Amino acid sequence: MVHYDWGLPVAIDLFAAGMGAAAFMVAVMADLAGSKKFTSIRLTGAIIAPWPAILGVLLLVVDLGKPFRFWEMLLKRGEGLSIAPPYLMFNPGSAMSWGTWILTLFVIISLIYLIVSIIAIPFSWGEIATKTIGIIGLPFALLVTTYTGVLISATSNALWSNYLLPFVFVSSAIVTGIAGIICILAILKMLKLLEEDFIPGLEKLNGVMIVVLLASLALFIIVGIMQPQMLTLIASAKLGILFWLFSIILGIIIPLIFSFKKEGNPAGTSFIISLLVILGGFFLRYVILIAGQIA
Amino acid sequence: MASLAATFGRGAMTNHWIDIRNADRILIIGSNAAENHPMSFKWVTEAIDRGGILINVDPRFTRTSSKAHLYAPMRSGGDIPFILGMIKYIIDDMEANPDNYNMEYIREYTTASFLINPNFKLPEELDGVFSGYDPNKRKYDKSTWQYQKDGAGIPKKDKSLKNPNCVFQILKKHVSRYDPKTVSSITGTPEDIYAKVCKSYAESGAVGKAGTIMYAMGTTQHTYGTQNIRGYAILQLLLANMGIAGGGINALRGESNVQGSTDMCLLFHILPGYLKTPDQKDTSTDSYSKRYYEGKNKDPKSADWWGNARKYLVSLLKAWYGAKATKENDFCFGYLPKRDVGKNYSHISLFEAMYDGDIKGMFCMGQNPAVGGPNCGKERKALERLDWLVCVDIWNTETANFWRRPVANDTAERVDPKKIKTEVFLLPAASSVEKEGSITNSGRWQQWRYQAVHPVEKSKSDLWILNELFKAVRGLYKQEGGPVAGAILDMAWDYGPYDEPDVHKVAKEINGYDLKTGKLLPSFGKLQTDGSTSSGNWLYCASYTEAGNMAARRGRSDPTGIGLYPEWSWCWPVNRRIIYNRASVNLKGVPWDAEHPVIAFKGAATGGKYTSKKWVGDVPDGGWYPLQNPDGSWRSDAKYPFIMKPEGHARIFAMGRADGPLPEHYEPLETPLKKNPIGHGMILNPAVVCWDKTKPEENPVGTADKYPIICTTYRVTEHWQAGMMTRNLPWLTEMMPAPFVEMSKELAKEKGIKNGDRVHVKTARGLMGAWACVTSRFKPFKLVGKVVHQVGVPWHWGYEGHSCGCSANILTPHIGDANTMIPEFKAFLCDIEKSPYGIDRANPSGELGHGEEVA
Amino acid sequence: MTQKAMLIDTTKCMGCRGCQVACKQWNQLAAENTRFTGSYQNPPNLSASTWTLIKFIEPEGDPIRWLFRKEQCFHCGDPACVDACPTGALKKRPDGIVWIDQKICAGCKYCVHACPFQTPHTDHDTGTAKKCRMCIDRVDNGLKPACVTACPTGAVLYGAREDMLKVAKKRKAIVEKQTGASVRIYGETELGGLGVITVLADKASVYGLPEQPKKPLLLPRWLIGIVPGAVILYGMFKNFTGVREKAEKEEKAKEGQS
Repeated sequence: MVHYDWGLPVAIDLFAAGMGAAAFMVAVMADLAGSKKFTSIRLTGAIIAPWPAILGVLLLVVDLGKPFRFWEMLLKRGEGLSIAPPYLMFNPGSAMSWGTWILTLFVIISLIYLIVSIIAIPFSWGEIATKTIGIIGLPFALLVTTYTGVLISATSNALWSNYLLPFVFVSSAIVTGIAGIICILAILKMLKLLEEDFIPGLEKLNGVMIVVLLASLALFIIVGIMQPQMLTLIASAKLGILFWLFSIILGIIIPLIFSFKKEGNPAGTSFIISLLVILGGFFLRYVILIAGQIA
Repeated sequence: MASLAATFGRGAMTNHWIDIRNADRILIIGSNAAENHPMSFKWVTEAIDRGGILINVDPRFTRTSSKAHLYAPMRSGGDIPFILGMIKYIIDDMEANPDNYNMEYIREYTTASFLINPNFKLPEELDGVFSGYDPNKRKYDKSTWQYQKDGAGIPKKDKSLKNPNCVFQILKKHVSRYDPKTVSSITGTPEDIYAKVCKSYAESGAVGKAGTIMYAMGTTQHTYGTQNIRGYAILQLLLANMGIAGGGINALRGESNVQGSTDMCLLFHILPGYLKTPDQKDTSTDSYSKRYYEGKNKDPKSADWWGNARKYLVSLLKAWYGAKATKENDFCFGYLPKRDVGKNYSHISLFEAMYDGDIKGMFCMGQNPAVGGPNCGKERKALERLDWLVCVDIWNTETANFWRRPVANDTAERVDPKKIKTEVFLLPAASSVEKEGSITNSGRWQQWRYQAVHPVEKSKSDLWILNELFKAVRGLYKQEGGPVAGAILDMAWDYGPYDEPDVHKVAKEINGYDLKTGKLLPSFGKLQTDGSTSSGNWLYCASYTEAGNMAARRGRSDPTGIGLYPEWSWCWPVNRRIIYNRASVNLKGVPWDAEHPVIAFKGAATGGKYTSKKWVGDVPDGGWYPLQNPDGSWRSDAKYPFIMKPEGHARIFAMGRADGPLPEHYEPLETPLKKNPIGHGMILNPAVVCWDKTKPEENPVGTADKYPIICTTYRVTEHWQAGMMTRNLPWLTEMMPAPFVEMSKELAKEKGIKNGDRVHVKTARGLMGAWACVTSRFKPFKLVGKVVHQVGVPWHWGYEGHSCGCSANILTPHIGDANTMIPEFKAFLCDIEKSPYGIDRANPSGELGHGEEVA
Repeated sequence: MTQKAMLIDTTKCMGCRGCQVACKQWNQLAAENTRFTGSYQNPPNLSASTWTLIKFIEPEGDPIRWLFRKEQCFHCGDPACVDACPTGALKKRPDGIVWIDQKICAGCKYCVHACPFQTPHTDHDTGTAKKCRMCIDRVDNGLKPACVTACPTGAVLYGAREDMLKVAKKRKAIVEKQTGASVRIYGETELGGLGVITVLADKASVYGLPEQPKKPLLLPRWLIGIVPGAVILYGMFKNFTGVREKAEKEEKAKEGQS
């Protein structure tokens, strides 16, 4: 059994943190653009956002060789066990250090956002409050989606160090973020708990985003085609199948076909399609992560 | 070693490790020095840094080759043609450009000018044998291999080197057949590379230039191994490379203390200090001394140092028998064991005798013949026929566990111990760092070592084991008596009152005492024939004197600047760092090489004559006056430089060898060629003992139709000999985890083998499983117009320890060199095929530590 | 403090691997369970318990060559691993030694991926990253690194960086004169000047080294994520605005109708 320094936990983190942050961005954008009009989208996004990010953080901690030393990433050591000024550990050259702080802050903000979103509904200040917190959180969310790409791109790994990777991960995060919201909305719709039907609109929006993702992926492959690991990714037996079947066909092509249906999809179909998109997004991270570590 | 002694008088590396740095040309042949003597490369590298050129000759491109300026591939078995061709090149070049060579050296210091009996005949005249051969006995009558002598009994010379009976002309005629084309067709060395090697190495023949030859087991482990080295000796003499700094023939000893153990009579045919072991014809010190050593020289200018042997023998007997050795009882000479006349007691002979049931018990100290012995499948079976076996080792060896060995290589099935009657004892020995004592390295340095740690558990030093054993045996003789009980009971045996024998007492006994004063002797010059001195080994007399333990010295001064370091440890003889150094100066005592003078004569001179004696530099090899005065007149009180030879000259023509006074090409026992490519009818060395004929059982010989591939065995840096000391060390086994077989890409393609595949190497004697190492470092050879492949296997592995694997010596034949009986490990025939199993069947998981699991 | 450096002279290395064992012995690193796979090189790669190893290289072509290169941490002048480390466990000392403080390393493995030479490796027993630390404990007590002491031929040296460069240049001149090969002094300027300078008798790639080792850049990668991300966000905003306006229009129309 080959051992990968970065395996499933990191793949889940890269995927989940991006999806959560993207859901947050969708919620805030819907809120900014439509206020009360899109409350269900906003609430769904706000409900989704923190949990994948928290899961990601937890998995990252678990994946540490020394999980109980996670605090070393936040607090600076002096001699022995003392903490030296300026007390906080931050290494601006390290994408991991950036990520630690961005993720931590995002988790905090998205949790506040979720609480405020729910508590503030009956109050008149609610709208301003959610919008303000949303705007504050927006850059962190964007940084989280980008960080997942920068983290593995800012390495000496032949496949990952591809400059297009952050773009791929950002677009993929947004696609999965939207799909996450669709997924929840579709469930609500099937349970007949929801009056308005934003799903067709979101599906069309995601269609466009999937096209962007496809474009970023194409660029990624073209730029990296000379790397042997790229061939592992796109042409090897095991990973190639995962990549083409799960990430491209099931995660991108089929959803793309269903996205632009004029009449919209039944809730069940939307549900399944959005799950496929989310699954595709996960596998994309996973195969890139693994392919980069196969010599 | 036998060959070096035959040529120069002493069987040892002539120079020393550090001195390699002074060489202008280094020829490494028959050795993979970088692999097996990595420390030697400290000095090889330094020589290269100083502008030296490294030439490497090897069947395979090795770690040594990787650092060489010139690499010449040569198939195993092509050694003698390769060297004789170089000698031919030099003799031809010498006639065209005599100024490029040191003709004075050749004329005055070697036997080139000596005249040989006109009835002497070369192999080209007698279809492959020298004159005097008896095919029934496979032995030579050497009566025609002698010098012509004048009325006074002094050998006749022709210093013009023109007389057809002079050694130079005989040599010239002998090597004339070895032209580059012929050499290339026998050795497989491409002609252009061969020409470069000849030219480059011959450049070391110029006055003031030095070339050194480094060799090891690749040279000696052949049926003609001694003659290989004779070839080097002749080459070095023609190039005036003996005795000088950066020159010499440097036998790289395979173990740190081989030189020391040989000095102390490890071999059956010598007593300590290279005195011959007596046989049944030797009845007294007098007859012994006369038979071997006295009256061999009539030339007053020859020192003939061995003429002193009687002093050394008597002093040795005094060391052994003390007060019991008296003039009246001939110093207990009768107690010395006597060999049967003409009988050989070397490794192969012993194991053949063991196999036949003639030997009932064996003490095996620090040796592992179940892995290291030739045709070890047979040797393992021979062990079964012993009544008892005592193994003394720091590890639990394959030899000590022969009764649970695999039935064959590459199988997990084991022999049934119930059917083996041998009683086996294993005595745990202390390792070298767990005891105090000395080792003598390749360069003849005796270096004292202190105990670093206490022995592990109940392991004991060799000295303790032998001391207790002797005391027990003596006790039994006292109680029960027995034949020649006096040999044991009269022995002087006092190594202190403690449990652990006093190693300093041993060292002092080896040095020897003046028995009148009880003082330690300052040097072997003081030894006497009358029993007034003792010395356990005359060569080491001067190693432990009243001034202290010389071997323990650690002085770092280098007064000559050529790296002699005379105060670091001690070196035999009498701390002389470069032996035969009298040949490093010209007839007047002036060094040939002004840049690296080993010694120089600095005596006062008046009127063109030396009037006082003074040598500076190294200890001179004979401190007499130089042969000539500054005005060119000859001195009568001078001595020739090669004092260990009766004639005082280095022997180009060596009459003492069993298989000929000059090297001649014969094929190995197993050869891919149908006849001797040099063009006569004698394909195998005519003087070797053919065990396959005399003892055919378990001694099969493979032929080229069934086994077309040449195979050789070798060592790797990461493992040590039969492997016990290294195969148990995980840091070493991780680097070299299993035996492999190296082969050319061409052969691999022919056999459908890929790099890393499991393969079987088969010979007439057995099979070895190994992992394929397909490499461009092996290339097929073109021999007499036919393509012949060669492969090689390391021989370190066995069935015990942390890392186990097939033993390569299952493959090797029971045949030895005609003079030394060293086994022919280096050239035999095999076939190779992909293993049908694809795994190591004795170790299918490939996990280390397999041996332990079986145990 | 003077900059120190190690010099690895591949033209003097004969591949005896004394350094490989000396490293394990001094640092008490476990042996790996290896197999023979067709090359002398073993263990096949660096790992958490193999901090240095000799690479055995047989380049194709005539004349035959067998190249040996001692692989280990290069102690970069501008180390990517120190940049990557989020805990500050990876440190560069003023004398040039780059080391991992085992008390601080949290085992995130980021240095493993950041290093342009794939030098640090995760120790699965301790959970931390490990690599050559230039025998910091020996060096600080006036000794040379264990591998330097073990090397029989002087192929591995340690001293002031300037001196090492001088030796390297002298060797370059000698080797180029003796063999005609073009010698490269790898590490003189690469990555801010490496703390391990290697004398190579051929191109770096022949020895399995990147010709121009690079440290991964952070800023462009952030921008390549953030800029399209922002554009997408803006697009999303426009989309939602469009949907709202369309809905409002429809509502108005509805209201108008009713």
